[in-house]
Amino acid sequence: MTIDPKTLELLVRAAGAGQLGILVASALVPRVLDWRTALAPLPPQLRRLFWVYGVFIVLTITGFGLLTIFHARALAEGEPLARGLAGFICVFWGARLMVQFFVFDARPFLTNAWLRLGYHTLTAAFVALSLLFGWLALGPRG
Amino acid sequence: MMSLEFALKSAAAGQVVIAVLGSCIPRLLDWREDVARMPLLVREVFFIHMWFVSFTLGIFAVLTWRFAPVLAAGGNELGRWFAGALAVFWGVRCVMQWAHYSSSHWRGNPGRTAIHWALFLGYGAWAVAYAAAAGH
Repeated sequence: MTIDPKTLELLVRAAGAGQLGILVASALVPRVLDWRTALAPLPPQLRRLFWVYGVFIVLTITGFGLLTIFHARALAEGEPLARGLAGFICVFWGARLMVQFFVFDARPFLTNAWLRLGYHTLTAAFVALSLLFGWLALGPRG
Repeated sequence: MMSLEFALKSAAAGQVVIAVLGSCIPRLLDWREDVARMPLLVREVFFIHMWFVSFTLGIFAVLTWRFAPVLAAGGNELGRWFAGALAVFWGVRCVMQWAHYSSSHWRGNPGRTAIHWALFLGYGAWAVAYAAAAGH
């Protein structure tokens, strides 16, 4: 089975927008979990490291988003480096999906319908991104 | 082109080292008790972020090593983008080494001062190597 190149390119661009959308949702996390209060008792270096990790992951996802929006055609064409990058992004979102299912118990924080909707939308986005980039990494091209 | 390819492969090897060390930071800096005092969810976020950072650095390293000849040769659209993104990434990390961390963490302690400078120069060298690959 192959996917029409134009359709694949469109899907890749949509995935780019989706990844930047995930960043917007991520920006709410420190406030929802009240990181400022939770991290206040920690040694300053450990607190700073916590924020460095956050910046690192934001930069990585921003990179994924910009890559998939501005180089959608190259990713869809499937040259070796494109497949390598797609494989990387697939594994990244696949790992994030596993965290969603098996590590975090978000139920205590899903206190209203909007938070529940957001949580399940994120889960669906992680599934879709893993599948799409898995296809880009391994799928046949016409 | 051989020297740039070598520089990129060196950057890949260095990133593997940082990935491995990064996953052991609470033990290396004896932060286990401090981490244990975090609220459960924040502690989980801390460990997940730590593992994601190490894991991502590992994949940066694998891609850099595997595609170093392509990156060094230039002329590949995705290769230039990848190298440019990593140049920005390590450039930002280099600046953060001075701008984000207080010098009180290392000043007056020769061992920590050496680590601080080694990390700063290493991150800077990687940023330059990736920028060179992105620029042609």
